[in-house]
Amino acid sequence: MIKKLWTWFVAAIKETLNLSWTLVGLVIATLTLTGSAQQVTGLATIITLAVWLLTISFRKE
Amino acid sequence: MLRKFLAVLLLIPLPVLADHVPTQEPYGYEENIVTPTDADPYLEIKILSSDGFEDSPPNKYTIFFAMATGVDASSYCVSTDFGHTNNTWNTYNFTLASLRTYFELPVGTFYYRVRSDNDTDNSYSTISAERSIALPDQTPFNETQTDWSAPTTTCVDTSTTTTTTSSTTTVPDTTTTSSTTSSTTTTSSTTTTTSTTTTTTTLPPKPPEPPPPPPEPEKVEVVMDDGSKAEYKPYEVEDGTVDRDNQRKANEEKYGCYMTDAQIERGDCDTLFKQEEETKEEVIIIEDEEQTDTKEELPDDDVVVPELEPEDEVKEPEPIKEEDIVEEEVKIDVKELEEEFKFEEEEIIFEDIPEEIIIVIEEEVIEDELDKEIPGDDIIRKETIQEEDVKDQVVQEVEVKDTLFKQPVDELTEEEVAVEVAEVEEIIEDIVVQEATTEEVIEIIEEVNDIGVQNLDQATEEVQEIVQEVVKEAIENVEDLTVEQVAVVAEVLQVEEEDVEIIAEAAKKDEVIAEAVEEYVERAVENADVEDYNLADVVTEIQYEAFLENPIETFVDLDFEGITIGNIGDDMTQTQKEKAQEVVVPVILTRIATMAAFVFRRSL
Repeated sequence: MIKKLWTWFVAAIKETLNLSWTLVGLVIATLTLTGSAQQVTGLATIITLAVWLLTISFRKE
Repeated sequence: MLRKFLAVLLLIPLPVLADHVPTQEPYGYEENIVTPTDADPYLEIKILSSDGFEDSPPNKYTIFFAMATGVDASSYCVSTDFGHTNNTWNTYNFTLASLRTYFELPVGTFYYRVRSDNDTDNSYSTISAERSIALPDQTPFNETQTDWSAPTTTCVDTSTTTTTTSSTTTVPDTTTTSSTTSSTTTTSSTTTTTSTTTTTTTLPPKPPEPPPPPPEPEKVEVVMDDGSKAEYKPYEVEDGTVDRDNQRKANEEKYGCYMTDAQIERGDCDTLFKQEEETKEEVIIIEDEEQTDTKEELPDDDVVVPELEPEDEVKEPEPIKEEDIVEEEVKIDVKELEEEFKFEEEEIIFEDIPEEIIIVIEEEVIEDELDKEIPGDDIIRKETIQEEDVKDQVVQEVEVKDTLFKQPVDELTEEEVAVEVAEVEEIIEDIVVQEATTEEVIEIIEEVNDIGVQNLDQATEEVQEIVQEVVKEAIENVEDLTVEQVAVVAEVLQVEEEDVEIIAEAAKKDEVIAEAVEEYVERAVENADVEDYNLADVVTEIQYEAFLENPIETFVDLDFEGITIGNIGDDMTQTQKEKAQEVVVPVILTRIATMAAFVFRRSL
């Protein structure tokens, strides 16, 4: 179990690094927005990233 | 299949993990009007404590309240004397006496929101959704009081408790949560016991006393240019006040206008302006005469010139037509040209040089344009107008002045900026921003607009701070401004007029916007070399600073209250939207390009 978690953790870091430029863009976009648009963009970014990382193995099948 | 199932399950822990924040909002609320038979009615607010699994359970609750909707953290508030007890209802009572401390007539709908506070850990929950209850319009709630005045301060931050007051209220312990008291309650009230509820009211801290004014600097005796002596303060000598006074005296003697050189150049002196007009008329006449002198050099134009002169003198100025451009032919000797420019035959061979070179000279139209824009400077026209309408003449003079002397902010010379800054300083010299009227505020902003807010770097820091306060004041009281005044505020912030209201609204809710408005002038001055620097830039800067300071909070500090799919982005200013577009669109395009390149590479 721990080994699986570790494998996922390493894969998640790799995926995040792959998404670096996109994330930079999204962070900049979030910081450039204000009010409701900022809130929605920020939350959508975090949720999407979480879903993306949690479904690594699912997508690779 | 199992893996897919696990992947779906993995989505669930997100909300589960987010269930407990350091300090939780209460789990439930209830509000009732209690009407005991032997005591005054009172408002009861019941709070259900959380399960206590959070890191910093509340040691008190703060109730924000108002007699109108829109309760927020700046409304009146009270703090309870009870804190967290696991899944237990606790009651806070608003007696008539306590309500009348805040409202002259506590009748109508009472609105409130609750926040859980843990002062020890400096941890506070989000403020709850607004709830309300109708206060009965019956005795004693509809009693009025004659010597009442609303509190001038509101409870802003409960973490800074400064004053504690207590009031004693008799509450029957058998009271139920019913808003009407039945006869059975009357029976039970015979067995009432008296309990005391201590109310902790939190008031904002007193503002610190202003520091004593600095001692007046000693005056220095200065010999003026005209030989007279005058006394000035040292800083007045340094900031050029003496020079300007010298200029004013000199100009008063010369033109009868007590103004600086820059003001004279700008055209503020009417006397000089009239003199200049007369001079210009003379110049025009001289130019006309000079045209006749060209006859000698251009022998073929002697037919054209006499035709032009009467047209200019007699007829009304007309728009320039292409036919008016006179083509003049000048015969030039080729040999003379060759000698003059010393052409080398070996290098450049002119094969088909015509014997005559025709040079087309377009007559300068500056004079005609001047005629068109300044009808008043034509002698003949002037005489006609004077008889017709004096008012029209005044308007024309103003227009002429504007055309001739009004320059865009970007083109102001340093000296002109210095004069404008001095004017701003003069206006704000005796002003107290908090007591300033709307007109005074707008007057200052108009003056700032004249020089451009970014040119305020030439003003002292005190002036910048006052201008900053004035801008903030204008935004806070935007509902009192007329359309024209809003336009003035929009100009100083470098935003669209319709954005001013959005900014004012956003500043109330969003700390970042409020901070941006507060620091706009300071940052605009710091970024004087940045083109089109506006409030959106300041907002973005502050958000970046906040992100660098605490990256996580920027993304998790969310408040979706009042947000619907339809109104997303409505609370953004036009300039902010444009700024976001400048960023978001390239990001999306870059991402698409990257993915396309990746797909292309894999297909190879």
